[in-house]
Amino acid sequence: MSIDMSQFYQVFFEEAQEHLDSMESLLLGLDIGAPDAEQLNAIFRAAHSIKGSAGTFGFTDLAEVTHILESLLDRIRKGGLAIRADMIDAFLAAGDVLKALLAAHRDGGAADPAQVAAICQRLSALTAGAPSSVSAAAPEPAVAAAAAQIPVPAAVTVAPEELEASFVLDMDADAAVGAIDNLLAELDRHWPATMIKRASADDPRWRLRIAAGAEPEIVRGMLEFVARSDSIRIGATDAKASDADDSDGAYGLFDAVPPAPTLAAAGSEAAAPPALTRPERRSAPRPAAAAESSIRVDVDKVDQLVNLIGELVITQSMLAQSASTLDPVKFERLHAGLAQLERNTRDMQEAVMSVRMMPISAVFSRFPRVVRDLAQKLGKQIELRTTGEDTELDKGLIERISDPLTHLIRNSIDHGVEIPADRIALGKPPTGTIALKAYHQGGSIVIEVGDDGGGLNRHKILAKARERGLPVHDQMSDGEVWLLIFEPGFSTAEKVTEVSGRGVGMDVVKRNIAAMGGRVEIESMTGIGTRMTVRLPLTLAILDGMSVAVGKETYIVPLGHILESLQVETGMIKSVSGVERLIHVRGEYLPVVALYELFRISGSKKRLDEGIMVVLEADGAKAALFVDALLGQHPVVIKSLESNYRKVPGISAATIMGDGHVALILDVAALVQMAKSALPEAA
Amino acid sequence: MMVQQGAARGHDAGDEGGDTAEYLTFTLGPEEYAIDILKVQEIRGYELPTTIANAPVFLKGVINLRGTIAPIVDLRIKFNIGEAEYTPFTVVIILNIGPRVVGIVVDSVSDVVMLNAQQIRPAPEFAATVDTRYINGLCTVGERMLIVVDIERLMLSPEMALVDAAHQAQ
Repeated sequence: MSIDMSQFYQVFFEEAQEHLDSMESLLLGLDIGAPDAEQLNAIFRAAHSIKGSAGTFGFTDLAEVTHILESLLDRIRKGGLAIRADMIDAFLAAGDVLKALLAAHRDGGAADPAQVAAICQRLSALTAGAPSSVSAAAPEPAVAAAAAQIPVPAAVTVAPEELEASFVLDMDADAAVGAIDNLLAELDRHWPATMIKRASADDPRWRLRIAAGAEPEIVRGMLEFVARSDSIRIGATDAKASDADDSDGAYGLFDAVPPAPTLAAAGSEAAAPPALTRPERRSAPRPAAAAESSIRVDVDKVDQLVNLIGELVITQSMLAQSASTLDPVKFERLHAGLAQLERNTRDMQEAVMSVRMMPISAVFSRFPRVVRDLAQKLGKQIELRTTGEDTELDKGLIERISDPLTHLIRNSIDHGVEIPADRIALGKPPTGTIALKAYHQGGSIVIEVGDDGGGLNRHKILAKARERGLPVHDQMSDGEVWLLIFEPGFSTAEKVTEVSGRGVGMDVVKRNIAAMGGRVEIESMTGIGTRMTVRLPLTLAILDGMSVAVGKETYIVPLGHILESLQVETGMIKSVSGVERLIHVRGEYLPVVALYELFRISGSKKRLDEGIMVVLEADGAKAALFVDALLGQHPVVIKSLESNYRKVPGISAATIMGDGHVALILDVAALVQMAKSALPEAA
Repeated sequence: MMVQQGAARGHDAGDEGGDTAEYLTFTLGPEEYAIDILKVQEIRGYELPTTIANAPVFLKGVINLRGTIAPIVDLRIKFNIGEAEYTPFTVVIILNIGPRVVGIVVDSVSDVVMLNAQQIRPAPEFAATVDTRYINGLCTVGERMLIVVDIERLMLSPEMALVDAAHQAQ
């Protein structure tokens, strides 16, 4: 029993969390001057959904808070109260309390009851401070601190005047007429109802008028049998029960189940009116289908699938390799089958990887709140602009990128954007902008955090670096100077604030991003702003690699880092201090990294003009990797070397080749760095 | 010579607290060692590992253990004892050291013995190949003297260089 319930709890927690998140983003997006009725409705519905399911599951504290929240929201959306900035603050605070309660229930901890009481009081005060009431919930404010007992929410009261209901049918036109007849008959048994408008080609909504005394919740219940539940609008006849449709998926999972079949069968004798065909239904709401037909799956299951596919890929290439020696004529069918297997495996791999892909909006959505709260605290005006929220990346990365990005944004708010007075003095608009951007570039995903603040201060950073005893000189390029801020304990902020300035953070940001196989770049211009660019690989599990041979060893070079490969002629090789260290390619001198030397591999080619040069690029620097030969190009499954062994310099991970042997994947960034550091020694 | 894995796995009571426990014994040159069998995952033949650049000589490299990358340490090279040659009879003991999977190459695997806690006597300061810090004690079984090794501590020790320095610091 308890196990069963806890399974449902999990769904409830997840859904409630989603509702809270969507409520928060809606609140933040609300224009206080002219609130959008649809947004208010959506906020109300989110609160309502939480209340409903919290009540069902017996989380009374959650239900209490949402109840007060809901009553207040209800009055606002019905026009009984004008929304004010302090209300938004109170709602956000209520959202936080709800999140805390939710977390407390989920993790078995306890939330602070004082906080709950405080927020109830605050919300009730807002309700009380309001002018005349439309809803029945209003007369209660004085005792609201003990809010649990507030009776009937407004929605359950009996409407004093005629109701008008509008909705979009959730069925084919064939079934519609019969269903509507049934619905009217059913309604008529309670209250007289009349059809005032049928659906037409340009408006898919049906409208009914129901006599005074009807209970909106009961009417809604009936309508839900035939109509899309998110399309139902019930209001007093004079109220502008808006035409605008919203399918924000407030009812989450349950929309997907079409309630129609039984009714459709009942009404099947009705002939299809030609006017009521599919196009209208399609013209109705924003497409919500994608959200409706999703299922929740444990991430572990997906990971297991990814691992299995990895093994399958290895087995497949093992088979392909064994078969490659067989006579293609005699074993034609085997070869054809293997080719088919390869295609299927690749498709399957892509499909499974795409399951793990999530839009980055999952991370971005939390930043409006971060920006708002922090800007308010620091007395700054900041607008957050996000683009590319739909960019997808691996779920594992999504989770891990969130903290570093939050830190970069906090940093931009605290150090980047100036306070309004300073901005005006500088001739900038008082409101600063933080631009958050995500997009794909090549095999990686790029996330930019840009601000139009004061930019980094070269002199300050250099002075600070000297103070900390870091090896710096005045000739360093700007790029090198900016990178200093990622040094541990580095902070140029004059005063330590609650937000930043303690020097912890930027180095952690860089380390976390590097651990994900990504890197950070900084561009900055004094007085114009700063842009931090984070580059991450698309996925953690598989990469496209080029296998290269050195002696008897095979190594994998990540394809994304390879610019070209070429065979050098003696004329291209330049010596520095008698050592062949550079090659001259297309007007550029590239340092040479000889893998046999670096890894002390015997039996390889030694002369630079005998082997192959693979030109690599990492962190904006280039180097030529000297290997014996190129073997081939294929996707490889990344296996950690560190889980059972340790970090090896120059190696990022391992993989398993088609023959079952292990091959090591080169850490290109480290190799290029080695080439750079090897050069001055030789010079 | 070869121990069946089934026999090894059959036992799981009497871990630390029990009076008797099962130990796997192997030889390194003339010395015979015993390790807790619960740390042993399997015993397999030696296959050529992929070498790791600039690693210590006793680290033979890494192998593909059904999709897991496991390092292989040749204890004969590490302790400079026995013949470090690789024949079809060379065996690798795959160990589970906490969450890690590590293989060790030894001269030969002897058998599985039941040892009573009282049987294991503290080791005097003596010149064993393995540092006494990693030795739990000595034990006599018939004519043989077994050196009972805390294989987990040995494998995680800095001198094996199997884990990152950051982990060793603690």
